[in-house]
Amino acid sequence: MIIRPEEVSGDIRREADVVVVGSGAGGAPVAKELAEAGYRVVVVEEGAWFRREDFDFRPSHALMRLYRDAGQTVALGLPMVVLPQGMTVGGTTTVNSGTCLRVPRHVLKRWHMEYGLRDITEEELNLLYAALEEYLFVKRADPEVAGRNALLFLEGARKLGYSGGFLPRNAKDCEGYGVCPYGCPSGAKQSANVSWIPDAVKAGADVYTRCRAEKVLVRGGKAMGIRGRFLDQRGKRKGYRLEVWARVVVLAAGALQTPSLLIHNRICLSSGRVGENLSVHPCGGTVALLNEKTGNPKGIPQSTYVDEFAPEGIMLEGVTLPPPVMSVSLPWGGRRHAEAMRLYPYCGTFGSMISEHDSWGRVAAGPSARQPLVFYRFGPADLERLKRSLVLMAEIWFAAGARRVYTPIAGYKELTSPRDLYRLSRHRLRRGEIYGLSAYHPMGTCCMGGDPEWSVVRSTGETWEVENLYISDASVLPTSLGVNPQLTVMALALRTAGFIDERLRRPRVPPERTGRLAEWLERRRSAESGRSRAAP
Amino acid sequence: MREYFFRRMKRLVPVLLITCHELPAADPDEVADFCRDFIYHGTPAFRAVYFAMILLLQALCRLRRRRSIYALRPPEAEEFLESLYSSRVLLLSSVPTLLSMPVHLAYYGRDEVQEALGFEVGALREEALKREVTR
Repeated sequence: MIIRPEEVSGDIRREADVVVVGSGAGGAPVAKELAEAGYRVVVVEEGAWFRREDFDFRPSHALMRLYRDAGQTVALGLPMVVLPQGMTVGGTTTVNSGTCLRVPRHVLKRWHMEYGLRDITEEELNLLYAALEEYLFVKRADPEVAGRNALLFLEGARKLGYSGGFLPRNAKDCEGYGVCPYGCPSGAKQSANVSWIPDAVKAGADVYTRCRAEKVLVRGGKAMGIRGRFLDQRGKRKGYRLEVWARVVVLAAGALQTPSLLIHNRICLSSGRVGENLSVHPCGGTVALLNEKTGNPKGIPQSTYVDEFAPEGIMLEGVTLPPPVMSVSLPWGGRRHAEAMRLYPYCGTFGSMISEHDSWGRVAAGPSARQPLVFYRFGPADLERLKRSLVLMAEIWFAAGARRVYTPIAGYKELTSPRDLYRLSRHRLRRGEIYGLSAYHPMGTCCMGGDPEWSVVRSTGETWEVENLYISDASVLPTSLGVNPQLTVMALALRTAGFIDERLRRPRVPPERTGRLAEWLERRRSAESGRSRAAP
Repeated sequence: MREYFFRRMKRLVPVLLITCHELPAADPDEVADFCRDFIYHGTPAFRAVYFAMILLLQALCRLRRRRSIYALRPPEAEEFLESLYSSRVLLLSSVPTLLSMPVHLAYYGRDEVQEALGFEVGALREEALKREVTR
C-alpha cells in the first residue's frame, strides 16, 4: 500500500527483505520485480504521491509539488546550470517527456573497454530493453498528436537534408496535452507512478511517501536497513521516524542524492569516487517567431528529433513550453518580453542536448544530506558545441520559415537573417555570455566498474565496500549516454533486481570480499598508515 | 528579516511585470503571494541569492539614478530595467532576470492569461479528467 505521513500515528520500526530508497526509474523496477518474486519490499520516497487528477496543467504548481526545491536545483559554476529533478512518487519519470532510447553501441563499447563492464553484454541489454518496451508501451510518437511545432521543425530539417524522425516514447493512447513535464493528466505516459509502483503495490510492496531516508544502517560491513523521517507539507523533517531493517538495501535516490547520502553516512568512500565523475546533458533552447500559429504547447512536448549531428555529440530534441515556462525562457524582460509573449501563439520552440567532452562536475557534501553542493564546469569545447547546436537550430527554424529566432546568448538574443547566423557561428563564446542554461540527466556519481580502486559499485549494482548495499539509479552509469537515460537505468535496475533475487535465495559471501577487495583494502590501509607515520 | 524582503518584493512586482494591454491585468498581491511560496519552496541558496538581488537592484538604482527604484516613474523604472536587461555583464543582466522569474511564472501561469494566449487549459483539464488511460 501507499502510506502518507498523515496516516502514520507513531514511530515505525519494521522488517523487510528489501528496502528501496527512491521510486524513480532505478528504484521502482527493483521494487516491482522483487515484490512480484515474493519478497517483502518497502519503498521510501521523499516526494509526495499524486494521482493523475491532481495534475492540473499548471506548471507553476507542478514546480512546487513535483520537483525538488521547486525546480531550483543549481550546479555552481560559470555559467550556473539549472538541474531540475523530480521529487514525487515516480521520481523524474513523472516529470520527463517519456523519451525511451537505448544506449548507443559506442557508449556500451566504451564501458566494456575502459570500465571493465564486459559482463553487461549487448545481447542481455537488448533482451531487457525489449521487455521494458513491451511493459511500458514504447512506440514512436504518433505524427497526428506530435504537434505543429515539431512537424514544422522536422520539415525545416528535411529541407536542409538533415536526418531526423519521431522519438520512441513510453505512452499509451497519448492525446498530446503538452504538459508531460508537469505530470500527465490522462495517465497516458507510463511513468513509474502509473506503471511500476502500482504493480509493486499490487504485489505487496509498501511505499512510504514524504519520508526522507537519512541513515543507512551498516553492521560489520553489511547493510542492515535504513532510518528515515517523515516530512511535513513544507518538506520539513517534523514527523515520526521510520526504521526498516532489511536483508538488502537499494539506494535509488538519483545521481545527486545517492552520493550525498553515502557521503553523509561515511560509507563506500575509500575509492574516492563517490560524488565524482558527474556528467549531465547540457541543453540549449531556441524560440522562433513564425508566420503561422504553432498551436503550442498542444502536442507531444518531445516528439521529434534531428540526429544528423549525433556523431559530434549534438542531439536536437523537441520541446514545447506552456506560457509560464516560455515566459521565463525568453532572453529579455520588460516591454520586449511582453511583446514576445503577446506573439506566443506564433512561437516555435526546440531544444538541443549535448554529450560532454571536456566539462566536468561533482557532488560534494552540503549543509545537509538532502542539499548536496553540485559543481559543474563547462569546458571550452562543450561550450562551442552548445553554441553550434543553437546555430543549427536557428538554421533549421529559418528553413522552416521563421522570421526571427531568439537564442540565450548575449549579443545574439535575436537573429533575423542568415547573416546573423554567420556572425554567431564565427563568435567565440565565453562562459559568461550564455543565459538560462539548464541540464538534465545527471549521471555517473557512483560509477560502476570492474575495479574497487576507481569505481563505487560492481557490475551487479552492489557496492564494493558494503555488502548487501546496492545502487540502482543513473549514478552508476560510468559515462554520459548522449541520449535520454531512463530506459537504460530501468534495464540496469532489472538486472540488479535479478542479482538481488539470487543473493536473497542463496546467501553467501562473494569471493571478491574475501579475495581481491580485502587485499586492496589492506594495501590501501597500510599505504595510508605509512603516509601518516611519515608526516611530522 | 524575511518579511522585509517579501514587502520589498511586493513593491517590485509592478516594476518587474509589464504586460501587453490585450492580456488580463495583473494582480500584484496574487503575484507576490505566489513568489513568496515559490521562493519558500526553493533552496536556501536560491532564497539568499534572490534577496541579495533585491538589495543589488536597489543599490544599482541609487547609484545610477540617484533615487530609489520605488520612487521612479513607471517609464523611468522601465528604462532603468531595460538598461540592466540589455547589459552584456552577466551579473547586471541577471538581476532583473532572476527577480522577474517567479513574477512571470505567477502571472503567465494564470488560467485566464494562458487562455488568452491560446492554451485552453480549462477545456483541456476537463477533457483529461474524463479520459483516463488504463494499462
